[in-house]
Amino acid sequence: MSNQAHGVTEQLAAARKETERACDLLLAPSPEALDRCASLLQAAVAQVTASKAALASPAQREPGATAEGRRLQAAVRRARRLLEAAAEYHQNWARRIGTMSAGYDGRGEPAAVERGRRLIIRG
Amino acid sequence: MANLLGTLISSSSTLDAYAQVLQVTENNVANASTPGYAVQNLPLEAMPMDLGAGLEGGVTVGQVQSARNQFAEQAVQTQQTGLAWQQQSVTGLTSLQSVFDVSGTTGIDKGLNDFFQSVSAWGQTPSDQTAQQTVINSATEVAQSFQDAATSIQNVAQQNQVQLVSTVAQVNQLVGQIQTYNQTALATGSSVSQDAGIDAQVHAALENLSQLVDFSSSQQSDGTTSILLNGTTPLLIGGQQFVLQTSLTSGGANAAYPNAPGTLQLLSGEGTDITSQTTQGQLGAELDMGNRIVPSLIGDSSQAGDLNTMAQQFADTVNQLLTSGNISDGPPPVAGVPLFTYDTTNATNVAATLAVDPTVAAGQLAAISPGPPEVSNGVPLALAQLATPTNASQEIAGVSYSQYYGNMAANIGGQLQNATNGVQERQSLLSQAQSQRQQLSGVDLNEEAITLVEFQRAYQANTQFITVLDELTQDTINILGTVA
Repeated sequence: MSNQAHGVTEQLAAARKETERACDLLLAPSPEALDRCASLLQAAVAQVTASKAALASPAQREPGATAEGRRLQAAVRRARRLLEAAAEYHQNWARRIGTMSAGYDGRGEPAAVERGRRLIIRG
Repeated sequence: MANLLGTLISSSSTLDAYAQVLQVTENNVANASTPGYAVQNLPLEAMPMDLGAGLEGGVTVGQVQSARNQFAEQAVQTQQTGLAWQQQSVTGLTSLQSVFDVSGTTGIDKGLNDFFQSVSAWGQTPSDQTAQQTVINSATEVAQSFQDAATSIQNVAQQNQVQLVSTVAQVNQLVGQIQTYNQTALATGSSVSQDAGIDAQVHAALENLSQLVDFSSSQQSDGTTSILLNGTTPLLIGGQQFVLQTSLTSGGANAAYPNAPGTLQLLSGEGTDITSQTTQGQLGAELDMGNRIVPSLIGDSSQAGDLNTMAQQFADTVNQLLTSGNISDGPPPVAGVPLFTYDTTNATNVAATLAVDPTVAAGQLAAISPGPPEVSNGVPLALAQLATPTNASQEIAGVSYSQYYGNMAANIGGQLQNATNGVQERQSLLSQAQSQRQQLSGVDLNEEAITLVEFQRAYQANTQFITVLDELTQDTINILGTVA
């Protein structure tokens, strides 16, 4: 019984670690990083789902799990905040690029970005 | 011959163009470690080639373009501003929290505990002058602890005010620094962005400024940088700087508490009060500490402050109980005297002036409650009851005095915890914005457009996972909570 209850806490801790790794990836968001982030979050969802199912049995509940659940919640909140900030940044940047490269469409919205042809040499 | 000449001209212009590319490259290498420096690109554009028409082709160089993007810069500055607000809030609240010790070993909490113990002991031997003297001593301890707390909070307010003046001076100094670049640009007719070194210095100054205040900046066509505080109040337009000022204002004679401590004011260069708009950055946190958090404890022109409210109600309640009792039955019966004194002309100065009347001697504490029925230790019992109130007259704002004090401490502690958590979150968001700035710098629009489409897809997937994870975690905590 003790091992199983400890297992729930461990499952929540594992979910938190996956979420924290996702947070680390979100610090430098790129399409590749976001793909890996989604995999980590999916794994975290699986861990918490298993924890929740295990908690259907009152014998497997322990107070230590609550504290771990709170820590997981804080990590999820941080991940959400980082994701929202990154999404907002890129959404606004996409709009900015639209106006920079193609102006505005007939409805006054930033135009869709089209690929141009330009030679750039970087030092 | 014409073709040969054209080829030579074409080669010449191409060599010139590549020479400029090398210069930009050299600039990038030289400034690689300069804070705030952005890699510069030199776009080369193909020239039309039609030798028959005299167009010799080759490449020409467009205007040097800084890869720095205003957008990415502002994203970093916004996070800097948010982080600085949280950090300054932590600094101020940490100072305040040290005033509130709820362990019961020092300060008001200990003073109250000792006082209630002493009146309880006095209730057992109501005519014992030693017990009465212990009550006077513990009352003195309570009064002194209120004075100490008020003084400590006033010191925090004073330090905050000094810091605020210093912050405003730093803002003016940084804006003044950018003003000199503007003046150079106006005098020479060249934009600062054309000089990578100055461009980097301007951006470094703007990044430092973003730690102090919230602002928006923009490059003007004349090469100058305009800065608007809170997006509306001019700090720098062209060659003209608008110097910020601070002042301390009282509420005036018509205020609810006319003798209260003054309110910090931030004035624009034109003398307009812009305090309420300035809510971000270090300066915003200092104004918040000086005009909201500290006054909630020791008052301002519109409120007495929780510490003063508590001190006054405690003193009045104790005095009322003592003066309602008798020292002796007489005849004639001798009425009790009040124990506490304070500045009755200024409700925002009660805690700082709370004291025990030095003329009160042990034998003057009234223990007898005249009733009917008369109770020989009725007053000490009533005083002891304040520790665990059973009716509203023994409470303050619906709770005991110790709880009221604990709530004050918890309020400060809660704000400090929020600010501390906020620092961690803001540090992450700043790291993210800095990383995004780095990614953006040097990426051309074509690559960026493709990447942005990929981002949109990836965000949707991640958002769904986070939403599910959030709900599952909450459900799990709820289940665990039903057990705990």
